[in-house]
Amino acid sequence: MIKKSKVAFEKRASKLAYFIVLPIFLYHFLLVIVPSFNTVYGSFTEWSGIGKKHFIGVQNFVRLFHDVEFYQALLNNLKWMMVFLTIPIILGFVIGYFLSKIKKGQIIYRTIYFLPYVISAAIAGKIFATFYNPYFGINVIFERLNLDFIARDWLAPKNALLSVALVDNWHWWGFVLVIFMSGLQQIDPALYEVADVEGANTLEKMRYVTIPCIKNTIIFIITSTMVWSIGTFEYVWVMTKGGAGSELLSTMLYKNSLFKYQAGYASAIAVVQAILSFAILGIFAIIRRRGED
Amino acid sequence: MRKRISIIALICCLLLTSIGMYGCAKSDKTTKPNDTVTNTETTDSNKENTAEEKEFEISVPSTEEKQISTLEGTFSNIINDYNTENKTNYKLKFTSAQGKDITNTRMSSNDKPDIFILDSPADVAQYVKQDLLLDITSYAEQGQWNNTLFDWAYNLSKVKDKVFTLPYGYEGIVLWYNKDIMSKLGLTAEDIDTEAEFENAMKLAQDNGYTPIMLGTQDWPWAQEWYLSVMLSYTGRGLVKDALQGNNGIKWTDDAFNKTIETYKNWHEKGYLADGKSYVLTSDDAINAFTNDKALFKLEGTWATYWITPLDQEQKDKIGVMLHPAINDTETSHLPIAVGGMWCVSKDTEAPDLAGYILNKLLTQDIQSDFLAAGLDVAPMAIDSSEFKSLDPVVQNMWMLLNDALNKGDYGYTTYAFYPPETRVYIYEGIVNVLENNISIQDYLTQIQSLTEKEREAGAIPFLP
Repeated sequence: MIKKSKVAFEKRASKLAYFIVLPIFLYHFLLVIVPSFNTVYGSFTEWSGIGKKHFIGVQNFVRLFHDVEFYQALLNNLKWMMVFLTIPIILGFVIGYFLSKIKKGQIIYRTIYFLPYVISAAIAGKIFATFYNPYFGINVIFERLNLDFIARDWLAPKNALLSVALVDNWHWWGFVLVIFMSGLQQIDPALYEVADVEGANTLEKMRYVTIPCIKNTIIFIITSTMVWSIGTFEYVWVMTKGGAGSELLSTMLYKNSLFKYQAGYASAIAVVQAILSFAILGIFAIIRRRGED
Repeated sequence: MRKRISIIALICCLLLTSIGMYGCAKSDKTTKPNDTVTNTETTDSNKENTAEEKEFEISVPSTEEKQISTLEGTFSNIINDYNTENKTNYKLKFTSAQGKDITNTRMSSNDKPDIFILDSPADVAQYVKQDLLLDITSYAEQGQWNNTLFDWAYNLSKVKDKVFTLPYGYEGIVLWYNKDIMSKLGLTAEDIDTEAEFENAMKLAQDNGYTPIMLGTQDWPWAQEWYLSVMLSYTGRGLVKDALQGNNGIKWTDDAFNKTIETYKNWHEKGYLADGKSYVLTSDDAINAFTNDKALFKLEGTWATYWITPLDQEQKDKIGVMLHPAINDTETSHLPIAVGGMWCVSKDTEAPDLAGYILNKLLTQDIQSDFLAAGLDVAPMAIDSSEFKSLDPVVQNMWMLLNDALNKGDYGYTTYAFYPPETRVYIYEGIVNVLENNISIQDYLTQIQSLTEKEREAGAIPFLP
């Protein structure tokens, strides 16, 4: 009898849950799912973005895979990804690890490090463009410190991509730090005590306790960094408009859609971006599942 | 109790869903973020009007407050006049900050403005191809645009002999020069007319520690396009027209264009163009260098005189304006032109007569004066020089120079107004690879040729006056 009423309660609770998520699902369906299908369909059409679509099969994809610009943009996205898989993650993890050991004033450090994350890309981009100015920016500081060899034209074609990526790193790493810290704070202190008893040093504790315990956090950060690197847009657009050798898939998409009246082709770029993102998510889902097994 | 909670939750969900659906469906009545949308009230006389009230939307790209208020006031008055004359009851819905991206998106939806602005003839060609614009030939005939507008502008309004747009605002790319530096270098603007004289002036400036030409492209990569527009136009206006239209066997890969790009690259490498740092300098850097006596020339569009206003009189007195000197023996000094915008009427408008009435009113002298004073684009028609008197003398000179060149027919083609979209974008983006030695000049020109051929076949080449 008790079992029966428990099942009925769970059923009702489940129905209630459906009702509660329904409005958000509808919003999502209308504003994400439907446009996404529209984009997928658009990728198989010749479409200027302002008129009717004409179905042309896979021509946009054939063109895309023969387009040198696409490979250059993809390569830039991969370079971008490499930067973000290293600098902010290493910095976020190391600083997060030591910060979690600080008991007094931790919140102040955490707030300061997180602060750049709340500054908009447009404003940060403009501020750093000023820092990069060859006449009065950071070059002047380097020259005064006799570090001329570091000074360069930061936004010139050879340096633009990395220079912009560094700005985005400045903005992003505080977020990574906070995520790492939330993972680190959930580790049971007893595990470190056991490691101490076993005579483990700091590196061994990190390897055998910290990293395994925050494995899911690491996977989340790596996955989101990779997916986000495929679609990144704002900093590059604000600082270089994708020019000077800093073209990314998203800036290429934007220009094709709005400057060249090639919305069908732009949709194909979006589909490729989505496939890459799903592939990354899929691979990490498998890794995670295997880890759980 | 649980049942009651479920019912309340269901009602809440339905309510939220309805609100959401309503929000999505009423797109044409919704105020979008960042837009300035005003429903201007009709006058007292119109309040008495018993006709059904209808909304008429005009969208513009302007973001500057003074310009927005001038435009809004002007359109409101025109619509009120129309209502009085025709016993109608149209209400203006004025939407600002509608750039090309927003306009394109709206025109592919059912939320189309009645009147809107496109950037260039190249955009108009795309819209006509998609059958989105109203044929306004009868209104153009009514307003005698053929007699009012400059010939080139009237021709620009047509696609296949039908008028689809009112070109508005005429602009060109001019060379501002610093009179003090000129004088120190023993030069005068009048003496710099040929390629040799121009190169000599740039070398002299550089040897004396000045930047020959200031140009910032870091925040605005299209600034580079302006200079390319000048260089390509100066290769030969006939050659450009033929290369775009595919006439007389002229191609972008011909020697003349090759030489032009070589010259461009050469000047870039010599540091004549912004010390070779144009990618890392902003428009403000360019302005500051020029106004602080560090650069001899500054390339700028005639639409952008905003940087002159805050200067003090002494600084203003130092500024002169001239046409870019020749870069070869083919062309003399001229002005590559463009239009500031092209007023268009949506094919879906329910009030074509009102749209035609508004466009015709935009050509009246009163409105020209108001627009000129507000720093807005004016119609491409002869303007009495007295209209310029309210402007700064330096700006007056620029307008006189512009008008004079257009009256004489001394105009060429800017890439952003007259080149088809893909060709245009490649021209200013691909040049970076040329300057960085990633590709050869010939490969660059071959790609331009290939894109032009493709776009010509697709009917994307706009009319070239």
